Amino acid sequence: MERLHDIGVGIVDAFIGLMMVGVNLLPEALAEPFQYAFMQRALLTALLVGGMCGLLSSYVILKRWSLLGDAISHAVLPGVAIAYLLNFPFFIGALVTGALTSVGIGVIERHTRIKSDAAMGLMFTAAFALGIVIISQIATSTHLMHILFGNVLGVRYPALMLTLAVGLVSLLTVALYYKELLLYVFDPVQARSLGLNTSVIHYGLILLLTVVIVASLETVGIILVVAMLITPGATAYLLVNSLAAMMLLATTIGMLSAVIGLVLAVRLDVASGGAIVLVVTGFFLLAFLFAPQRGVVARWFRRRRIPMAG
Amino acid sequence: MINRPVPATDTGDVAVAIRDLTAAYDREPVLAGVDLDLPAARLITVLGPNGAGKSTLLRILAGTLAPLHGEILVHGQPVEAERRKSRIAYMPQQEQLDWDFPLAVRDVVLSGRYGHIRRQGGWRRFLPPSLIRGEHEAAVKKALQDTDMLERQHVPIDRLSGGQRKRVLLARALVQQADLLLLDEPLAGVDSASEELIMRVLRRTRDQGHTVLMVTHDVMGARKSADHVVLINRQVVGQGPPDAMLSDEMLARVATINWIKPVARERSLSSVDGPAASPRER
Repeated sequence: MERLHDIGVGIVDAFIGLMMVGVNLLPEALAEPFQYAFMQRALLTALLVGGMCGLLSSYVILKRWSLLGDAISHAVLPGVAIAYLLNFPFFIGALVTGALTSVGIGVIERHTRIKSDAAMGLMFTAAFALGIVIISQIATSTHLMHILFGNVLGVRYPALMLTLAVGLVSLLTVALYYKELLLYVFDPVQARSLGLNTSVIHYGLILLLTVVIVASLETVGIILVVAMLITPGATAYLLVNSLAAMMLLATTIGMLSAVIGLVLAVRLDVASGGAIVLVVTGFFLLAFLFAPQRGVVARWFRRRRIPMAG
Repeated sequence: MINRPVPATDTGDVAVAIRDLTAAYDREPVLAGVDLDLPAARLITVLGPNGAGKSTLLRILAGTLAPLHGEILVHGQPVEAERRKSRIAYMPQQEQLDWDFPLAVRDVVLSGRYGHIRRQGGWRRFLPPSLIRGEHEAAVKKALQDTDMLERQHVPIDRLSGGQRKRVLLARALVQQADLLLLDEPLAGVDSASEELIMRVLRRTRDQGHTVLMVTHDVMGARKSADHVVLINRQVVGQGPPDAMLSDEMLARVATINWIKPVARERSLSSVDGPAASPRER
């Protein structure tokens, strides 16, 4: 166990070293805050979280799973609280309640006449309420605040190792099963008629989403992680016409927002999660206004030039 | 009376054998005890009124819907096994898809080969679509040529007209080079040029020995081009050559078939999105 921990620290440090090579190429004013070890850890975490959330956000947008992402992220809270209470890794608790909630949503949807949006809203608020009640009994309000809104500057090695592992797993999964995921998200019926096991893909994708949400807890918190799972994908969706490009761009936007948000948070002494989400929302607004084909400005110009068209 | 050449590959084989097939949505039966033997290498048209279970039959064959009970053999094999070998291709109605999806024509057609690519195994099955070459690339090119979409292969699918969308879905089905082709209303909402092209492709596919099974409302079209007609209304009302099946008497028996092209679509039945191939609405 001790040994495993040391190997993990070694790998994380290797990644930090690699990252710092890039950071030191930046102008000194920008690179300066990252001379502290805690800032380096925060930067790596932010990059990883921004990247993996951005990567999956394309699927969330195209599959119309925004509300599901919201639901899972809230459902994670009681798991974290119970894990804290029983003193085992919060990752496991979060995974269990996240998974239970998505199963519960499926059950309600299939066995009653209640539609999926209500089923999700019902389940995740209930889970969230349970989490709040447990936490109010056991921990201080600062602790609750950290789970809800994240505290990337306080990230320690175990959490960073987890984030790194989840990041690599999600990248690998998406790279290896790109075709299967594409087919499932675009046309699940066709996926099935080609003999793919759509149940495995469906729950696999939900599981991946849950794991990513849990790993993002410390950075942006469970409330704002939803933004990172929606906004980068939505922004890229306005800008490009191919799925691969959309995923690449969404990942880049996620990483950029995380870094810029982190720097702003330190400079202005504001909450890091909020800063990151505001930056990514800024990217979305830029795309909304200035996207070459689908932007407001471009459409306005097209209408002016060709009156009566459309 | 239109003279139709007898298909070159009329072997008298049975392509699809269905026994006692029953399907229901929320306890409301859609198909009840269907027995059906469909001839191989023919262009088969399934006709029936709205809600008669035509699309349901097709979706059960495509594997996107599980029947309550019954047995289906395709070329003598269980349907599930044939499906896993990509020997069954399915062309859905275009309304089932999100055409705003960021894909180009070629990406959609290539996705029809994903089953083949998976089965070939090895590390190549993990390659991204842009690096797929060889027989798959050749098959995609041929399907695009056959459907006259080769020049538009890089066009994003959100810019296609209705007829072009149908042709893309047809190309995706053709590219599988499956023995059994299932088509759900392939001519609905299509301009006459595309209709002509689609029927030409289907006839050629039949002549090459594949079985083409299509569901339609279009009695005139069936009279013109089908080799074999199945009348269905929850049960099989009759099957045989078009002349015999499309008489006024038979059409009256299958009841309330729309003589004009339908305005309302068949009540959209469950599409299996994700898990549970259950016949329930999801």
